[in-house]
Amino acid sequence: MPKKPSQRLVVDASVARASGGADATYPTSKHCRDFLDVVRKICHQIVMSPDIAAEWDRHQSHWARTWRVSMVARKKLCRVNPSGDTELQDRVVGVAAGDSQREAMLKDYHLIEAALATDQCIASLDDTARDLFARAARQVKELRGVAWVNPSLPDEQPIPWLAGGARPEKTRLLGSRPET
Amino acid sequence: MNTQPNSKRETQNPGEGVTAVSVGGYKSLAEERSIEIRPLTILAGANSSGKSSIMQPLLLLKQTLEATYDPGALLLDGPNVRFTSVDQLLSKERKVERVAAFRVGIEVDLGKTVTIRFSKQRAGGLEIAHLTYADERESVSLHAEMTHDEIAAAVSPNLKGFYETIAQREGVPPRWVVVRNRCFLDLALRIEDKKESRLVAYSPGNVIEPHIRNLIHLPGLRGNPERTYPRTAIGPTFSGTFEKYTASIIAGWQAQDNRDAIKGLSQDLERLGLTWQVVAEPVNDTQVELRVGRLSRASRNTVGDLVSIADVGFGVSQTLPVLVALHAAKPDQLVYLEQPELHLHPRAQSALAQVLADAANRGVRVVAETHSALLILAVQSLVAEGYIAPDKVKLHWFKRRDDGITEITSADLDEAGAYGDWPEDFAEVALETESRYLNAAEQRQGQE
Repeated sequence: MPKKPSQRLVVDASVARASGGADATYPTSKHCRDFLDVVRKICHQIVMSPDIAAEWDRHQSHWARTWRVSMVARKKLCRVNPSGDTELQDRVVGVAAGDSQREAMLKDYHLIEAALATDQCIASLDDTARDLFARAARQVKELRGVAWVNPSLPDEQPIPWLAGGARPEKTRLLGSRPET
Repeated sequence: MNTQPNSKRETQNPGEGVTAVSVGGYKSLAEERSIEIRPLTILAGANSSGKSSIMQPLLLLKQTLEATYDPGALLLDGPNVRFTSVDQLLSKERKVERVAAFRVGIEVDLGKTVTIRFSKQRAGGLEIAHLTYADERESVSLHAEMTHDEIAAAVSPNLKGFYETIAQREGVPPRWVVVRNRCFLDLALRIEDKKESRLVAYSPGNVIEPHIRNLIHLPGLRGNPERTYPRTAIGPTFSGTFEKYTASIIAGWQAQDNRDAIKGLSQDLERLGLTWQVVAEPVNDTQVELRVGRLSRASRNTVGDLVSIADVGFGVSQTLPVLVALHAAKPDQLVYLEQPELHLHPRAQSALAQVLADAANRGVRVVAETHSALLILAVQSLVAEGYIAPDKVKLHWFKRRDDGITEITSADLDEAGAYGDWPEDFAEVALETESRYLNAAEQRQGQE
């Protein structure tokens, strides 16, 4: 596959977990493997903050571990250590309606932090978190430019998106997501 | 014979033995390809991609130099490499060479390079068409047809002085001639009055000859385990392939009470999970028996529990020559290992990386041709762990283009053991194979 411009992608551990192992279900697992495989072949980079790495360490499948080894060996792993902007985090999670939403947003806030520190692209299976952050984006403008893709949903055309350079297309942005 | 600039690579110190090899016109290496040799050099790639071909010309030179008779410019059918015709080793794709010929260039000590061009003779066999020597101060080119006048016009002041001395001593002016010395060309003075009398004045091949002779070669096929092995000399040079020296070297270490070597060998065997001890027992003046611990780890109950190497798995008999070669090799000596991981369990393949790194850290120049993803990954791990410096390691990936010509992609490791872009890596094969299985298995399990 010909190389396209490389983007730094935040890939949630949910993708790594779903790519194989005891909990994997077909065809979600295949979609995740195909997605990661194309990330590697197109030479996109993946973003690893300490929090993301810890999540991967906890949840990654054997297949995902092999994939990650290859990405590290190819120098396609972008390490970041976000500064921890608590003011921004407070504004984002302040949008939550209740403790459960707040906990859900805090659980995945490390993805937002890492994306804001890089190319503002997130791949995750967690649509609940995506909806919550999309709602927050209406009040927090910093979130509006973050693209969020679910690799398990073929309707979102994640593979063509990767192949096209993983650009932050308007329809994928948290700021453009219709209210649910 | 001009002076040529030379840019020294900064990663290595001088006096390091063979530091680069270039080959062109040879089998799939139709276009000239070069590899840098570092203390731990890994050759990887698909079958028949040209990994062995880049090293075979060195082996041809070795077996030519070691032949007990003058076999001509190259001994084609010898203990290290076996051909029966010149056409078997020449490239079929002659894009670079217009005539049937191949070249090998060997750089030693970072900057001293001897390049020899062998061409096919009409009458059969090979002849040396050219030999060039270049270092940072001078460049010398010899060919078999050079005339006295051509040579006289090109020789250095030192050689001119030598010429004058001989002319005065002999009372007649000698003639410069180029003569073949096995696989090299020498510059000699022929004294006209004395038939057959030649004085060798300059042998550029001497720069690489000791490194070629000292090369230790372990082929992929290392023989069946035997009840006894013939007694051999025990170095420091090992003509032919190395495996036949293994038993006698161990016997020699025992006789010399070389505890470091014996202990190191035992530790490596145990590290690989093969056995905890190996003992060489002379049977008579011509034969040595190798006995090994029956179990892989030492314990109170294993003392004296030794059996013939012929009675244990292939892993021991195939790996023992590799380990002995690495311990027997001196700093700067080139050890060429073809698939050292053969017959080893994956865990042992991984552990083998440390054995190779230990030798490289002692200054031995290890060239390992491998198909083991685990071995390469373990080398990367050793670099990331700081066990071996990244500038001691070089990876070369061999691949054949659609037209059959070999291309080599070379990579340095960084301090994290990462190598960056390669045309392909073993992980790709692993991921594809695992994906294939998972796709099929998960789909079937979903139907149950």
